[in-house]
Amino acid sequence: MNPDTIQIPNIETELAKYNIENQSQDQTRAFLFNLIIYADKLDRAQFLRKLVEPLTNKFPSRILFIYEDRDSPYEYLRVKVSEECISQDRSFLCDQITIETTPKHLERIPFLVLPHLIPDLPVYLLWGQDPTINNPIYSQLQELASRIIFDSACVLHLQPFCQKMLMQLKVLKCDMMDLNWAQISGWRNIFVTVFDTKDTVEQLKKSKTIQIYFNQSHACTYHNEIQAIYLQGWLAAQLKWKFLSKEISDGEILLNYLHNKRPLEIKLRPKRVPEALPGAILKIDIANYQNNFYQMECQSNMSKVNVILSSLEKCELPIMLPLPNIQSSSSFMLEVFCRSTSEHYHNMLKTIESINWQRLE
Amino acid sequence: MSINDTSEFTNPLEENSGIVKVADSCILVIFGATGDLTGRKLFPALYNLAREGQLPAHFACVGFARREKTNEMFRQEMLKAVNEFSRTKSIDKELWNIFSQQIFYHCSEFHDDKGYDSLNTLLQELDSQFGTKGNRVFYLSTQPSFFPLIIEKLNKHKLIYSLNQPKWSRIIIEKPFGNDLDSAIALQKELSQHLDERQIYRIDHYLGKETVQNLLVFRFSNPIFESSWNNRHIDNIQITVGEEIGIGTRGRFFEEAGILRDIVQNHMMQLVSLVAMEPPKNSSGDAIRDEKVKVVESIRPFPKQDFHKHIVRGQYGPGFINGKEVIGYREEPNVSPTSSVETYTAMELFIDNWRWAGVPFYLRAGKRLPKRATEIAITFKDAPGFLFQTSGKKIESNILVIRIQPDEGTSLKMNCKVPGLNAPIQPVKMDFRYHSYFGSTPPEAYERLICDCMSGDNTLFARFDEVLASWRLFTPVLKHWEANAAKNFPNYASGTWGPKEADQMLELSNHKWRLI
Repeated sequence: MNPDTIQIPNIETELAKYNIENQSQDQTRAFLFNLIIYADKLDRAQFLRKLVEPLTNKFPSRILFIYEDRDSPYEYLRVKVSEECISQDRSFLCDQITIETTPKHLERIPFLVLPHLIPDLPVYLLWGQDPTINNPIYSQLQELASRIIFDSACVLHLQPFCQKMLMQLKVLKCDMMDLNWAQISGWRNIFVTVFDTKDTVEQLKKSKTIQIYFNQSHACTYHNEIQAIYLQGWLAAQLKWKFLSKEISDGEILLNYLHNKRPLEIKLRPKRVPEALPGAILKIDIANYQNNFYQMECQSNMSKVNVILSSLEKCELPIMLPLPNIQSSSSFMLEVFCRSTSEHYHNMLKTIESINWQRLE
Repeated sequence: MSINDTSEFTNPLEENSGIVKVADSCILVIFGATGDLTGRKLFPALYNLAREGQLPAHFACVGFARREKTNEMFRQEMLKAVNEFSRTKSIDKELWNIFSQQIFYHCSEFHDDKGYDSLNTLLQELDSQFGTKGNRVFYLSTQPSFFPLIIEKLNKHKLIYSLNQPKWSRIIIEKPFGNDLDSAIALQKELSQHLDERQIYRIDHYLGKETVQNLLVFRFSNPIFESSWNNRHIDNIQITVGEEIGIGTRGRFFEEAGILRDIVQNHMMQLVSLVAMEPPKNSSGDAIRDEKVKVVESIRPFPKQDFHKHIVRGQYGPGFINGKEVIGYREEPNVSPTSSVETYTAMELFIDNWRWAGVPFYLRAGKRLPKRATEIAITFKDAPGFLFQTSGKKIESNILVIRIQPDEGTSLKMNCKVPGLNAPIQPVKMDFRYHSYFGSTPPEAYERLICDCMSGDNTLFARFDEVLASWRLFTPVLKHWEANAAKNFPNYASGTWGPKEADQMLELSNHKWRLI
């Protein structure tokens, strides 16, 4: 249903109208939580809308979508109300309030949001802006939230972002999640599955080279390499590799670590795969000092990873493991909306925050 | 980590609050692999576990049965079964191609020593190939009469190991766990000659259902309900397991079993114990099972001289289901025309403890009832006095209903004033439906249970003392029924809610069966 602009005082009236229509058509509204989404760039807003679509099919919620339009030549504040169907037979619905504003009216937004939150349900804030930028409404919205989801893909500089996030982890009383961290949860689970014994973890610790290929596509992100940076940072943090240096060459990032006096080289290598999401990790190759090789590669539709373990003497049968994606996966949604603040995330941030990351483009 | 693993390895890559449960590397051997259960339930479960990334990376499955087949034939049959019975449709061909390479078939008779020797050789080869570390799960999808033989052979050929070894072995067995108290004890004696209780996983697939698992969450994370979950506030509890289908092709089995053995002694007792148990001291499997056993052991035995007042049996005759005429039980294939086997039972139980003293638990289970429904209905006591008198009409009781299947969810009936002058009080329903909030198809019970066994988590499996307590309760009833054939069978028409005697049993206490 296409939303139409309405008068602000009429928000509840419009929602109530939907309610009455639904009851007469034997439809029910269902809500698990309130989700406030903020974006200040059109392409990011579109990306977050697309992210939210499959979400509401799995987790019906009241969505309050705030878009700050910084490019408009004239000032405005407008509201639209719409309903979203969450079941194929249209028997269950949830609703969405879209608020579009120019910077002049931004300060009114928290007051607009507050009366329209459904009481007694959790409030989640998906903050689609670099949190290192001072935004007047962030602190007010953050106070309402029981969970804040950050969108690290839109940060300008990764190092200050990491530092800001580490501070937030200390001061925030609610749970925190980073979308890029959630997007690599599938890969982290694959590592846990493949390296599941003391021996295999030791083999991983003794890595000599790791190459992580990620999708470099022109999209609504500043840092396509963030997921790759996060993944290697996570490995380094959990396996206690010591960071030595970083170089950038030909668009590739080379990171040097030390483990038990042995050097380890991690290369983050961009590739272009149009059908994959920007920044998605495509392939990981690991070689260790004992000449064990691990190749983990995404298959055609990015929903599976083919894992091949080999050594100089033998090559094992491949293992196929699922890779949850943000469009369809319950486990991704659970990661974003249900999991408590991750200690591994904190450890990973601590590992990468001291590194001066530059934009590749 | 399995209970047999004595090392203290903590994977630094694994976060404690992980949502995905990953089972331990192992080989699953299914005895009776050409039977119905393997195709309908086990392989669809394994496929969906693979799809969700919850099968261990190092895994293989071997079907063990008497019929001659090649690996490829067995794989094709299982592909067909998964296509038909998987909860997720349009099978992922790429995933199946990889997964099927982990499926093997081993032809042998259950008594053949050579068959077990060659099985051992095969499993060791698969250990090298797949890295399964010698860990074994043996799923006995066979007649219970084969259990002692198979386990004795597994032990003799060193296919099962004692505890406290780096590798582990477990067996999964399906109900019935014996036919009565004596046979259950005898079976347990056989099993425990070769296995520790911690290696025995007795499947009751009801425990794998999301809605049944939700019973504990519902009770113990919502204090508002737990504070009134006792005899001060609850008038009676009704548990119904109703099926509209008849016994189908299971005539031969059902003639030996009856519904008391098939459903009440196991599934319904699980529901009773989960509804009535005390909060466990922690969420470990043993802590939960300890509390469940206490419930069953507290159930008052049926008084032998008055069985008929407290437990009713029935058998369906011809009738109508969904508008179609159906035959009676005695006309079903492989059923004796003079059969006295019950297809329905209803009973009144009392749990003699402080929480439940005086609260009747009414249980009914039946085939060929008007609809398929499994639910727990908790009727609360009426409000004291007559504050809101409406032409002498009694205000309706609050009823909390937990729907186990179908239309999984919970509803609460409460009273409201109808808007208007001198308006009456009207009951209304607050309704929560799983499907509307949690959309996609939940995992099937077998997925959860197989994964739990591979992870060494026995919370959702029946322990022997639970089984024993349940048989102690029902064996006298079964013996009484066997000695006294029913004279009035069939005594309810298909498509009705059971025999009149079941209604009369409740009327003695001024109660009525809830209309579902």
